[in-house]
Amino acid sequence: MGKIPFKTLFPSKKLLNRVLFHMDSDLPSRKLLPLFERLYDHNALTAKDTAYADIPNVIFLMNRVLVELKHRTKQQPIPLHKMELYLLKKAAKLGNNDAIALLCYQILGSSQPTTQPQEDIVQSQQLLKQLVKQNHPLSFKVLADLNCHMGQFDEGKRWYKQYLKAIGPITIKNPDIKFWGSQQKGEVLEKLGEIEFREGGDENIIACEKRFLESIRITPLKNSVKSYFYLAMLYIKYDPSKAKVLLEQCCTQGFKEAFNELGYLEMNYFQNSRKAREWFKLGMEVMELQSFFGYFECCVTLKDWSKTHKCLKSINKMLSNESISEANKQSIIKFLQYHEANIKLIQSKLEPALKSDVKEKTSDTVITETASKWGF
Amino acid sequence: MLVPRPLINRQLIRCYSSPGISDPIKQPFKQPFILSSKDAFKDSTKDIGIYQYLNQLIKEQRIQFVQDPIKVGKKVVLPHDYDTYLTSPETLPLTISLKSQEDVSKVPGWRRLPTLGYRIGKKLLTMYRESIQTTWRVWRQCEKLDTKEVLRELEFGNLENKFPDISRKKFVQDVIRVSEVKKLPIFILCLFVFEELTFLLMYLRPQLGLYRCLGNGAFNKISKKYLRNQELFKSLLQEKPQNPHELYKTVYALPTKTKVDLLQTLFINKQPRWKLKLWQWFNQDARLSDEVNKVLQYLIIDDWLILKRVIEHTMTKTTPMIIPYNELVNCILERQLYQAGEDLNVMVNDPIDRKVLIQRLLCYWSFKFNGINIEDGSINFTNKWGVNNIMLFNYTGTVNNKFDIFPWLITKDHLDYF
Repeated sequence: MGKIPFKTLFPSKKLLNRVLFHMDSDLPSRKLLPLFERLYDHNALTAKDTAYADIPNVIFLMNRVLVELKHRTKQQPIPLHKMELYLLKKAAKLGNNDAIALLCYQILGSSQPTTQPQEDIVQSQQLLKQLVKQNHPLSFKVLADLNCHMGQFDEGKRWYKQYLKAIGPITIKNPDIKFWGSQQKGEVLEKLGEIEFREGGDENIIACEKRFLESIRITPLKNSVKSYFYLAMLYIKYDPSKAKVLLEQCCTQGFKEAFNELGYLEMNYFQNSRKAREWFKLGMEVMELQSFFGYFECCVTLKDWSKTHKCLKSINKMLSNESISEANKQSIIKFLQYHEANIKLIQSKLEPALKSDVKEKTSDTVITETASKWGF
Repeated sequence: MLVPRPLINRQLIRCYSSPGISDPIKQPFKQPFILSSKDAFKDSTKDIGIYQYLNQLIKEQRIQFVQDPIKVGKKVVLPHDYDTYLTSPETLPLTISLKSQEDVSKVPGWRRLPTLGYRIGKKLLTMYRESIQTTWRVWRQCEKLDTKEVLRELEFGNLENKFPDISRKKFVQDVIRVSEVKKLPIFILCLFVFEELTFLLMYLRPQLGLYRCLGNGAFNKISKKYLRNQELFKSLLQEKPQNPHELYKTVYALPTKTKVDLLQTLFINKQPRWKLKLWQWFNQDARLSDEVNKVLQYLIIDDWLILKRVIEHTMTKTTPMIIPYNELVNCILERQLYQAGEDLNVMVNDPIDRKVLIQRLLCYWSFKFNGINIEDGSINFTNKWGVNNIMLFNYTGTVNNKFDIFPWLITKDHLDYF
């Protein structure tokens, strides 16, 4: 089987242009596209091919472009993934500090550290130490991420704060911190805020609100969904209308926890069971157990007995499923106990209809399955 | 290892309808005080720390209620040094009539009436001028305060850091009294045309006048208009719950018309009637809901700031806390703690009836804030009552029977309970 042509594999030039404009790149797409194509064809970029091959910033830019394209298209073909890794390693070899820091993270933060050669691990540690001594901001972030990865949140918090100190404020006058810098800073603010939120306490809550707001200000929605979600959790007690808007923003990005929260907010506070039912429906599509419960309650409120019955059937099916976790099993049992009266009511309402259904089915020779995957 | 903190907020929204999913937050402090007998009342208040504390303060006269100050021209008649953090009597109506303050016994009988009329007229005009000046000053000095934000900072115990200049007086002036400025043009015009007779005009139509300038009769008319409307809450309680005071209702559970009716019975609501009707016609449900929530939040903050100040003052100082009568009357009016046929101004000037009013307020505060750490808000008010729980409008803190849904106010008959 021949190699897939580059033009069919690589995203459109229009998208590339948009990404480059967004990243405030100095190089236009007409210069970068041939480089990507050459790399794709020859699996390498040498100085013979192009003068840009030895410029670390260009190589790193190409790597960032591929990462950004991955985020925008929400997919990445294997050849492009290989290209991304190649470009990162090459940029690191040529001496780009950001690339070195990212490569160190890849090696040290690997989910299977035993597969990494011991030499690489030692070298990465040394390089990271040198970068920290040079006060390189991204190395602080890498260190913090590694600490959080290992569960040392206090240490992680310290390094995140060091990073924020090193990078300074994001302003137009600060040309070094463009797209890449603000994206990183947004991420750091979000993680720091998350740690503070989970630690709790009034002071931490006040501090984390500021961080989430700053994160939202400097990064686009798709990169700061968690900040939106946590802010909604902070505002839900005092300003539910604001929380609703924030949760809706999260839902546009498919953040699955937001469907439950928004559904319950609509159902219990705004008293709009129809709308809540739609949010729960979306939650059910991503198999959120709480959404099933919410959907059931909405249907009971709306007195939509047939849908309630179908939802109940799905919940019972989940209960009999062996792969379900113990905690979920317990909450289903608790839920069924609480709604015992409602379940009886549904059965009494639907009994005549169910009986006639059974008669029809037995009389037919062919039984057709009309219900969907979830029983709807 | 950092243990993820459970999102209490999430539970808060859910717990009211889905106890099957998440365990409801335990709310042990929601039993109102029972007025059926002396023993029942004693029994229901014996474990309520805040009630015992406040009642003790009243008994020991560490909180004193005094005649409201009268300022006439440059001569300021201040009977006592009232608490300036808490009170703003210069923006509230007088509880005694100007006529009762005049002593014309030495004036010969044939010119008593014209002398009395002249003196009252002169005092009235001075009071009107000063009220206009105060209203203008309040408007000029006001800062825009968001009740949602203030409530949030109070609960986080961060109020002084966020709003360094805040006091209860400033809060009340910035949020409520500032709207008096809208009445100024018509009031000044009336004053030019009718002079002292504006007094009569204000009696006929109390809404025209500045709040400070209301006479006793006009105030009585206003208080009749803003009586608690229990019919509204009856419609909300179709099914009888086990403990009615654990009920949670959001404003969105009310139909649009009911919201308008509710707003019209709330003294703190400053939106004019025509605007509310317009919103009703154009189905602007969210706006109406916002207004109801604003009133609710205002009352919570106001109560909180008063209690906070009372506790701070009595803990740190030995001098009694002085509160003028008109502040007491205003608190009762805003919280609807009175019944039809009661004249609050007369009541506050009568020693026995004043005790009734004070006890009503104490029970109301104790029921609402029992179990909450007022100093720093570490035990959350919103966790106790739920997010913008409009059932709070219905509660006075006292009921006649344990299973009563509707409030029962303290009267003279209950005075031997305290």
